Amino acid sequence: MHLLRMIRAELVKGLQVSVRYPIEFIASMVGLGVIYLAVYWTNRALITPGLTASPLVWSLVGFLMWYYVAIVVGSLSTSLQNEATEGTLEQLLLTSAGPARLLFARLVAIVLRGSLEVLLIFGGLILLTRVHLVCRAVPSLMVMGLSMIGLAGLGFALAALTLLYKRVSGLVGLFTLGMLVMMGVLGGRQDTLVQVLAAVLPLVQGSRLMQQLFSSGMPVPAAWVPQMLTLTLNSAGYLIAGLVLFSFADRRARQRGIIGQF
Amino acid sequence: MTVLLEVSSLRKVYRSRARMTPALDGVSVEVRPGEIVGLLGPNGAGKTTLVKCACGLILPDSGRVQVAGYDPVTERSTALPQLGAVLEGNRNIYWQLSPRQNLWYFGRLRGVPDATIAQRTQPLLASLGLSEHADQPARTLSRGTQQRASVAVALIHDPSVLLLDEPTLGLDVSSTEAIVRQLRRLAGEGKGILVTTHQLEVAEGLCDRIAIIRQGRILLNEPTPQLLRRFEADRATVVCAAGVLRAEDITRLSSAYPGLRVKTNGNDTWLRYSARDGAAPESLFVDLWRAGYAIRSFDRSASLREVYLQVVGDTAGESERADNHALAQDDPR
Repeated sequence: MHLLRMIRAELVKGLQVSVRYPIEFIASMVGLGVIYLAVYWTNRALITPGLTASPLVWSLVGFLMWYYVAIVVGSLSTSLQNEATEGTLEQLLLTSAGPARLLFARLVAIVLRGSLEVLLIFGGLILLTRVHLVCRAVPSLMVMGLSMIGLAGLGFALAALTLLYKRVSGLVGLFTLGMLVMMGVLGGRQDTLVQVLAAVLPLVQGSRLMQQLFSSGMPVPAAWVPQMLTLTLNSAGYLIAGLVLFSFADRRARQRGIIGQF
Repeated sequence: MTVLLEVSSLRKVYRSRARMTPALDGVSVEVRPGEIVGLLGPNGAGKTTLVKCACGLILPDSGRVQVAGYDPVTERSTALPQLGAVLEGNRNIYWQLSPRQNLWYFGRLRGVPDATIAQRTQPLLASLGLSEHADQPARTLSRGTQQRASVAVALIHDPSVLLLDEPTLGLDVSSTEAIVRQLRRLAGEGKGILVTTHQLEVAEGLCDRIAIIRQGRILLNEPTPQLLRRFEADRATVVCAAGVLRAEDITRLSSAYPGLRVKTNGNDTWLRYSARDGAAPESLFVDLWRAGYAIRSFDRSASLREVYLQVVGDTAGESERADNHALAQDDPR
């Protein structure tokens, strides 16, 4: 119950800041639209040989993955860094909920807000391009949700590094890029090596499942259950590892007396 | 409950690759309901470390902190709702938001029901003189107004213990007075308050008890009136005599009152004498009067400033060391 109130508080605060700084909000929306269009036109021009899905589908999957990787992996670290720089982090950590729950609530709010922005952009672009998009909403949301849980683990791991080393934005950028490269290189392949890597590396399994779901005809993949199980275990593993690392870093930062420094 | 904040035998050493810097060395402080305790000390004495340990933001090496009977680290969910804090060197509030929006945000994060936040917001804003600025972004407000908004945020969940690290630093007289008034009112409601400050006149007028800390050790911890009385006994008396004292009078008085210091501005003469040095200071008045000098004024009541300087002494070097340590700590490498 308290978690829901915290998510609500974060959503309201995000909205209030957007209203206070409307140009920044509009610019971010326009920026997202431009990035999506760039991905779309690139896909249309250089569609991957052998893949049957339309450029819109591939650009949609690619864009969604990029967007959620960027916000889920990077937002906790960036948020902590901003709070420390602005001098509000220590006041925030006086909340009885604890830093991990607090950041989780913030992450959920960021994802919800981001999803709303994405829906607005896609709604507009789909109307504009008049493309009929077929997808299975429930499986897609399940795959996205589970993938994001794993990414949240990476987000907490980077937040842990931020607590200790303060400025890790270069590393966050590297991680985000690494995720995308991994997704691009491994996501479309089906060989044994990739199956093994998909079980171990973050995001690969989710990306593969998303591509299958968005492929032409949209069948539920034959090996749905074991693949979903792999994804669940993979994501849970990363989340637990991220939370453990964050908890360690929180304690270490408090021991060193550097939690509010930047 | 007899003690709202209990800090006992707290020790903390900051360790870096280059060196170890002791910050707290067996510090014990208590704050009781309705009590305002002032924590004074030079820069780097350990005041902020103590406050942050009490909040659970810094983990001590040893010792114990209890907020309303709970440990702020291991019993966070019960201890922290009892605690409000305004931390020095922090903004404490979001500058993009207005004071009212900050109150709602922090209130919700701290689990205060919406109805209660709505009920508390207006009186809290009014009591800190924030009503007319309630809906302006905090970044557009003056430093004093921002600081009062920080105090309001620390109070939105109605904590029983309030920790204020330099709450009046850099504020003008009226902003300082607004905060002092609010703190007195809160103490009157039974809250326990720990304040650190360098503004000794604020501490003297506000605090029921004064603790002086230096190099991580509490040098003195007494009720303010008792502390001032104790230091009054051996403090210097300053007498302002009308006119310029003749040389032979100065020689005679100097031999009768060892340690007497005399200064003149050409119109009047100031004589400073400490009872520790010999004869009772009252006889100085009589001797001056007998020599034909009128007494314009005298001052004998001990001020906290004098007590502080006597207890703490010269700390310029210490402050410099502390600043260097702070810089070293700021570097996360």
